[in-house]
Amino acid sequence: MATLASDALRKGAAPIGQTGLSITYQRLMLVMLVFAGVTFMIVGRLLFLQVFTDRADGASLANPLIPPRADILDRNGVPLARTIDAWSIYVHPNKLLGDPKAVAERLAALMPERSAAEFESILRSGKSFQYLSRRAVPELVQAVNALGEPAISFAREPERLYPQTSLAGHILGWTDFDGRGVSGMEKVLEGRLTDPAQRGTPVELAIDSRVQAAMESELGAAVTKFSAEGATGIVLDIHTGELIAMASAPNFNPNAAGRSDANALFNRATLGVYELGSTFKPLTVAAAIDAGVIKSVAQRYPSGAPIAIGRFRIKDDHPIAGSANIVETLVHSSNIVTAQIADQMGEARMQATFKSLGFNEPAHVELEKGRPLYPREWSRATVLTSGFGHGIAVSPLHLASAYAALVNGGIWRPATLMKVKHAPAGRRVYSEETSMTMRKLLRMIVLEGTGRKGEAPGFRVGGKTGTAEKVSSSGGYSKKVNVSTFAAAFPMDNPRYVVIAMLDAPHATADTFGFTTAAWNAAPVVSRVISRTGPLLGVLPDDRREIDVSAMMALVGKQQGH
Amino acid sequence: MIARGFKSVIWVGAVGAAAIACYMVSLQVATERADLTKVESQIIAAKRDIRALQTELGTRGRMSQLETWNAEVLALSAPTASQFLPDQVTLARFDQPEATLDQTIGQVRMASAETAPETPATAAPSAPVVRAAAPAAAPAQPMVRQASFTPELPRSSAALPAKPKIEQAKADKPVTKPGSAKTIAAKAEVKQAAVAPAAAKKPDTKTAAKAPAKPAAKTAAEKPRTAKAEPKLAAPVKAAAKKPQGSAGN
Repeated sequence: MATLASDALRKGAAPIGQTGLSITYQRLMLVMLVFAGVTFMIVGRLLFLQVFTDRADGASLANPLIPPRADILDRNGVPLARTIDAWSIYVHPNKLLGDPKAVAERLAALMPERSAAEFESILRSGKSFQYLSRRAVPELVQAVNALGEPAISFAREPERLYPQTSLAGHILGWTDFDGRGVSGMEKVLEGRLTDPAQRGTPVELAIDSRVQAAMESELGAAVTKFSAEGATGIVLDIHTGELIAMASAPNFNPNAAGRSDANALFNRATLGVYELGSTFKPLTVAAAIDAGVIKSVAQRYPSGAPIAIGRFRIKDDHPIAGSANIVETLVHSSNIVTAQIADQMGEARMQATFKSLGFNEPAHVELEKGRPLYPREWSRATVLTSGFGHGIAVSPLHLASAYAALVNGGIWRPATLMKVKHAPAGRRVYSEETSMTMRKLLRMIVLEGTGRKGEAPGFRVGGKTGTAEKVSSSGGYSKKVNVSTFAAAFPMDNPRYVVIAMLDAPHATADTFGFTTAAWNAAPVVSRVISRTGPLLGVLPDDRREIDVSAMMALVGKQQGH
Repeated sequence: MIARGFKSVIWVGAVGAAAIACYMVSLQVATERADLTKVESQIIAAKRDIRALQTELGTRGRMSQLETWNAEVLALSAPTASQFLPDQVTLARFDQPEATLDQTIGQVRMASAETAPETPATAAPSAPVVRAAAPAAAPAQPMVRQASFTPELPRSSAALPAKPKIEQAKADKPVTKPGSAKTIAAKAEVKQAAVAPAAAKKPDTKTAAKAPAKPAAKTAAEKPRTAKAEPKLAAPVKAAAKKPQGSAGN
């Protein structure tokens, strides 16, 4: 090219004098310059692109490792909810080639959830798009692909998977087909889970899946054994308010939430409110010790005769003859004495205690929660009965938080399902000294009283049984239908966890000797859960450790046989 | 002249070669970059696979599945308090080193020493008692050995370790004879155990203890008591009866 140009210049410069020729040369020269210029421009641009373009940009723009919705993990990093690429099978009915009837029959054989007639109507609809199956397993996709119908196509769609199936279903909730949280933590954390900046990092819940599994299996076994309507169990870290486990039976599988019945979807731990009965007695006693109504655990109250209040009579199934001190009151679970203590406390102080424990407002947790049935009008009868847990209905989670405050040194903290680094400040409900006394009293109930079946050897369990009569559908209390609760904490010499088990309407079996009280059904659940999970929670069983209850042991009369 | 004529050709060639070289370099860079992108995408694909497999593994090994397996096959139950050891000292309690011949003889000797003070309270046949007795036996053993060993040390330094012991047992006999009848019985027992022929392996320790005790026994009342207190030590005695045979074979 350069040679040609120079030739042309040389020839053009020759003084021949023929103007026509020189004009031709000049034009030729111009055309060549234009061609050369365009070529150089293109080459230059290519070189520029080659050198200065950074190809790495394209790959890192959309990182395929960041899921469309963040994972949910338990406190140890075990995945509880993940998003995976699932297969969906769809059909373009307007492009169908085969005989709709034959194809429909073969589809019905592979996917029994729809009949052949339904498939045929889909195939004959003439629409351009229709899902045949979403969240299909690879085997099904393969089988449908083997039909060889070109109108049927497959695609991969993000799908929410709960690898632990029904584990913690009530806590996790579920998502709809479009990946939006419908219930549970999926709904609560919707913003956090889908936030593009944060969805790369998984969310850690406070749940420990091992403890949750143990609680669910023990509750499930108890529900089956006692033919109960339902049950709930809670394990709460008393120092941080973290819910280590929260189970409700019957439970459901969030992978197929739509196919569960309404009873299973109901979370009894937070949505259900129950009169929890005698488990309130330690709360009343602690408040009375704090208020100075009870000056010593040796203080005695008459316990033999029922108390008449209006048209009610407060009585005990097995009254303690004569009088009872505070230790005996709790060990033998005396309604009569607790009612007198509540009476001495008076309405104002009882209400103040219940309000500081949050019994007048929905439980403090992220999930949907039920509103407690807190009495509006406080008569003397209300005060007396509330002392032993009747006439006031709260959720089991309320009780767990209250027991945590009772044994952790007196600080009430809101319960949470999120893993927390620093415990919230909380508010003081009981004095530290009262809390120490209550630890011993709770331990005494398990050693000597109604909570004996709640003992887990070596774990120093302390707790209180509660058997409340359930309000029947016709109003009024039913003697036969109970709500049995056992609220416990362990290890009592340095409490760390509160464990609560509640059975809704359990039936008596042969080995409970016809009893439906908490000592026979709820307490063994707590005992087994503690034995199974104590070491996992860092509490090793030790037969040589014990909280010192010798002083209280001396106060318990041995004349009571039960 | 020719060089001048080819000058432009050479220039064009040089510039062309340089351009191609530059282009080759940039092409090489582009190839490397493409490879890098490919590896990166492979890494991403691998990570995706890992995640999918982890999910599958987690789903197949979910808690409820493990629980079912446990119920059907493993039947594991919650550990009890006795299965946890708080410190190293408790752990050391479980360490029972293989007894040497020296020690087993010593133990048998100890057994007799134990029966002498007459403690019927220790007859409870529980495992910890055996363990508690074994360390208690240890301090007593060197005492006896020291008394009999020191004079012999210079003489039998080159001899087999098994031989002097039997000798020692024999040598002990006259020394302890003036003592109580019970110790004599025990020494005789040791002797028999050490020198016992193969047939002596079978008979149970009760008879073994009685047989040597009979000739030496002067107090009939104490004899059965030693026999009773000893069932626990049956194993060491048997071991003692076996061991010397082994050493005799050597």
